[in-house]
Amino acid sequence: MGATEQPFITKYPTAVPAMGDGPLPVAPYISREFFEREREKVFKRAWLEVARAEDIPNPGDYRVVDIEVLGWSLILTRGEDGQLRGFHNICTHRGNKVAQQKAGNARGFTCGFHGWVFGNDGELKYMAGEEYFPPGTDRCKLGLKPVTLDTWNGFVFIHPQAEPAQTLREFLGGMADQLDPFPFDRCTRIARYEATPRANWKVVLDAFQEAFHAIMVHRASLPKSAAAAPNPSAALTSARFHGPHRSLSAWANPDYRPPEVGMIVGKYGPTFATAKDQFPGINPNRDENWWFDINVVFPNFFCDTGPGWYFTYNFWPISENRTRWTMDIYQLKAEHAGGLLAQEHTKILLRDAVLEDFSTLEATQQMMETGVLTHITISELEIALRHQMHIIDQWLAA
Amino acid sequence: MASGPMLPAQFADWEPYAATWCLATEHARREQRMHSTQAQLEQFYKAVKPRLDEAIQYLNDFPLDDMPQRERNLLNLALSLVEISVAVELFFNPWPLDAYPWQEFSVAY
Repeated sequence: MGATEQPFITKYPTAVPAMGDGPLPVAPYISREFFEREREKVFKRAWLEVARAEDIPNPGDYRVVDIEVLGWSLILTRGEDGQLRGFHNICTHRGNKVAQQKAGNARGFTCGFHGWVFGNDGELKYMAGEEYFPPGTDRCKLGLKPVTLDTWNGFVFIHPQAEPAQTLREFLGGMADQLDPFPFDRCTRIARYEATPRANWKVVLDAFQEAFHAIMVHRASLPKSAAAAPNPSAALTSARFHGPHRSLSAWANPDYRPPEVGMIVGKYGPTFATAKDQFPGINPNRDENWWFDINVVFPNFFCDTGPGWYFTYNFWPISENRTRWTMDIYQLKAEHAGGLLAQEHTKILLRDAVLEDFSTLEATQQMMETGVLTHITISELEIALRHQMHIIDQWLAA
Repeated sequence: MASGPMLPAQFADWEPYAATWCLATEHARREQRMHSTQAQLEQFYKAVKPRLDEAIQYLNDFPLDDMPQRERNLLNLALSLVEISVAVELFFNPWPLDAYPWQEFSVAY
């Protein structure tokens, strides 16, 4: 950009919190002590997204969810009454896991140690050796230990506390208002990817909450799609702050043309490369040359939305330098083969672009751990990183 | 091994690719792509891309949920073309070069 040129302006329809403009410390990305504080003050106090309700559609269906940062194994199960419930995967007798399979359909769970049987409503239905336990041992009080669970638009969240300070809806606040019109219930999962990079969970998360990197990281997969005159640095078109959450709209170069096969299949349905703004719940600021929305639900869940598709990321900390990352892509049901091929193009381009996103993570972590840098220098293009760290600081102080 | 053509008659030209590329899952298509040479990908791309649109228009007349086997094979072959198209058009290599190792990136479906 020449000195006389006006930079591309990002719009902020919501108030921008006072977050300062200094460099961000490196310690939160490498320190075990900081990670332990995040575990206690952030992850043990936040609503955490763990599944889609349609993963557990029928009475008896269950799915085991392991949450490393809490050290928990949970059973999400739908009871005979149709109610979705969450329980710790632990037998109340001696502590063995009661569900050994990752998923299935069962009327209940039989512990493989001594045969106690729990219903999928959590009740202890059969207590082997009951007559030998001391008087006063109450079978009714020995059901599976429940976990706080709620759903929003089919997203299943758990909360580590028995009585959270906020309901899920209160916690999501303006982010929920923004996303409510999106027809999540009409979409189905078409892909799931998983990786476990050696990097702090915020190093991984930060790689996905700005578009600036597109100029370099995605120079092969998406050349000039997010960065070109008049926006050569891939500034966001708009960004919104919803309490601890944030929503970022990426700019699309209107002159970008997808590669040939993308153009052919793009005639039959929307692709990631040819997204147009005609869909409920997206492009909340009605930006021109809008591409897609990056929606970050604090602390570790993304729900990125486009016309006819959305995809989610979960960033699960394992330790201060190991993260389990999952991506799920959901789309409206394709009407015909052409629509399916357009969806496939979206998926493949996204998947390989994410492989590029991953290229920097482990090197960044390794170099941060040298201690050579004490701080990283952050631009307005990366305002989301500043917001994430600002909110973490607030939660650690509270 | 079934004998006879795998694809509808009007796409008989593509029979030499059918055994390799009529793959029903993304996982299988990605594995085949990553274990192919760039020359093999380019050959497949050059053979199929010029009539991809014709194949789509042909397939659009069949219900997605209830496709006869040869049409299903043709759709799976077209899905493979989409899978490898980014290697030919963007990366000039079977997999993105400046990227995380694809082997450590699991594909569930």
